[in-house]
Amino acid sequence: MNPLLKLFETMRPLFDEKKGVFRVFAPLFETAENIFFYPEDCTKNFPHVRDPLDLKRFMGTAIVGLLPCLAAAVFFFGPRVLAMVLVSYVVGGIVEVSFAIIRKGEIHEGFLVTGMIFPLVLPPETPLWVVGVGIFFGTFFGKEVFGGTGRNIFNPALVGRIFITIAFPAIMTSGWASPGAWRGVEAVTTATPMAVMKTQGEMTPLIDLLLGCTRGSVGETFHLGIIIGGIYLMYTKVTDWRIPVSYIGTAAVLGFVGSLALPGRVAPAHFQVLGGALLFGAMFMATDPVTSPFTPSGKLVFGALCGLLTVLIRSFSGYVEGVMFSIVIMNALAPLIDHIVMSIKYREAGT
Amino acid sequence: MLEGKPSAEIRDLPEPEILHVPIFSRRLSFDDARVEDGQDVAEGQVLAVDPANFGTALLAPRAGTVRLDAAARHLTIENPKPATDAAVDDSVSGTEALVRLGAWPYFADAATGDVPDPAAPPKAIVVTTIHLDAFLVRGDVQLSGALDAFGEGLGLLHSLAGDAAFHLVVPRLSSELASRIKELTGKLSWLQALEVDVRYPFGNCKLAAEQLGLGEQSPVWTLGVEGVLAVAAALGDSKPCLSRVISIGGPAAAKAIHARVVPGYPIEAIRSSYVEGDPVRIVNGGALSGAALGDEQHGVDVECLGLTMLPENTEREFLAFAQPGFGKHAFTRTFASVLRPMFRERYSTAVRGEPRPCVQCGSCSRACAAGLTPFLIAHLADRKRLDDAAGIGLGKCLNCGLCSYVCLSKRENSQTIFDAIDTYRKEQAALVEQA
Repeated sequence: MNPLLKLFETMRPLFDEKKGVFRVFAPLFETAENIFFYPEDCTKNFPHVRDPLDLKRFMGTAIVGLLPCLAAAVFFFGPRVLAMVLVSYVVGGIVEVSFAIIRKGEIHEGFLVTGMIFPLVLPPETPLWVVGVGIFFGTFFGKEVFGGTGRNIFNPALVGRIFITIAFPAIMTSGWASPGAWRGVEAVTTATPMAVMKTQGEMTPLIDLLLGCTRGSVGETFHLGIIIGGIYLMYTKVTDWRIPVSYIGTAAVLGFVGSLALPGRVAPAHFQVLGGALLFGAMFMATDPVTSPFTPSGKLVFGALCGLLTVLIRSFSGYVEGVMFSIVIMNALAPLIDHIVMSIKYREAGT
Repeated sequence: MLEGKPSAEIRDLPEPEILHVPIFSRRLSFDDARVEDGQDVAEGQVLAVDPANFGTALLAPRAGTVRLDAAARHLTIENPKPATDAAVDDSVSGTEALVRLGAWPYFADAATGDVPDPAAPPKAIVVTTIHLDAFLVRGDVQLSGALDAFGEGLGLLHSLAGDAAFHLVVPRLSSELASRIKELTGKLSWLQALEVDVRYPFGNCKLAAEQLGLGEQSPVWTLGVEGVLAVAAALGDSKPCLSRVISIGGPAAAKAIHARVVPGYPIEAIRSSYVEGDPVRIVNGGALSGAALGDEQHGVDVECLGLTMLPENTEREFLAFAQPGFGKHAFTRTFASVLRPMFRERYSTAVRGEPRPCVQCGSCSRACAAGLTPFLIAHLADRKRLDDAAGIGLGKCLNCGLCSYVCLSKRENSQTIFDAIDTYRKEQAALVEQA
């Protein structure tokens, strides 16, 4: 027998749910054991054989899709990014584990993706304690109070982001470090491309936008990496292509038409897509299966409305960026979209 | 590619020393015994009938002495004589002959899957030439060498059903057998062929009936190759249908073959010579849609299409979620197996993960051949909202098992929906009775 498995076997009585000394931490033990060794369980019902994909691998694949962004973020903004990820995982993990203990249930893998995405949508100079507060709020109020994995209405990472945007406006609008500044590279501009465009009418060159030589949230600037990671997730079918395609497509079309009709107010198509957080939001956040519609046509509608709202907020509101709000607003509408699609498909559906 | 796929050989199993004929099968329950304990029966004699299913008959597969109490819910035939092929009964004709001569268990209603009423003429007939569930008996194996009888059976069915529309489900592929089937069916002007993808669960009669727009019509008879061959024997030669071809396959099968057996053939005899390893689960049917064979069943039943031997999982895979997975077939492209399309995988009964809440990943909807949203139907069924579930297609479910197969949260959607259909139909029947 594998020595590690033997170790788990000897430790199990300590975590026994009834008599174990550490019975409170039974979910933690079970999670640790099942990470290394899959449960021995056999199927009880038909079908008697099952597909190898499970939630761990599913969430793991999503994290792999985020790795290009993370690597670029470390390159541009320094090792402090890793500290932000670490804080996010530790605080988010504590919330998840506490709820698992209170519910006497399992620890779900969803927080691994939330904990990774959250620091990537923050300004690079966000203090670590703010990262902790944000992920705490996001996991606690965005997910756990709704009943945990699979039951949340809003994307937990965005709930946390919105909370700290409102609670710490100064930090959240000024922490835009210049890429490479930590290595002594000279600063390129003083604000994000979207803000520069809105306040000074100046547009950052396309190549800088693609390669991430701009200011912006930790993970949103290296657009080439987002495209690679996003396509990987769509290829593996972890995310559905419909949401990113309709989101990005709608924003591009509106940007094209809008910039012709209202030049100076509406950014042109390529800038809508590459100038801010849209690509990151469309590839990694709007595609969250729990908070987006499940019907294929509903996904197309959802993406299109996200695109519309993003362009509207960017062009006509006091905010520079509109991705975060548009996705959260559409999260709230997702069940309604599904309901309408299903009612049309099955005329008299009563769900 | 799966390890344990039955070969095309149809083997005759050794003569049984005793027969344990179950008086139950998936749909049937032969509660009305027509023989007495210790009685000597002739080959093809009616042992019992199912009063709830239009008197469908259970025939004595061999001559011998009947024991009623040797095993619970079985009719045991001691000292069975070898097959004589002598029994002929031409006293009845038409559907009555099918019921009397043991061909009726091969028939199913398209919408409900129930045994159809032999007295009600069908609006349409759908015959499928393919069974696609993993390790199940295959249509092409049964057809090769029996093509003439198949053609005869089709003709007899057509004349039996009068002007009912007649559809034949054939696989969309090119092979010698496929072209011979096309040649045969091309001569039958009243028959329309429906080509389907060779992908589970296409080939399913209910799905074919839905695709053909027969959903509103009732009754629609459906049957497979084995059913047509039984019709040819019963109506063409007035012979009782005593034996059937089943598959013996699966990863834990010592030899994966097709076998000609009689109902009642002892499971123990098959287990001792065709099962390899321990513990092994024997599934009555295919690995995806079959039911585990219980300890209480001692013989092959009259509706059996195959016995699938699956090794029970005893392993705890190390860091399975992080391994590249070159050797794992998967529905999504999350494993490195996408880089090598052709390879064999040995399946077991492992759940391969931990149960989790549904995250609405959409795999079940993508896998569902009937175009349903299984996770939502199962969600409603869990909350006893069966009318709502029926509103979004509960009745269209094929019970193919794919929604649970692909589920990454390891939810038992297929079983939940299966139970919900059963409950819902009982409720509806009760409502009709009240009215």
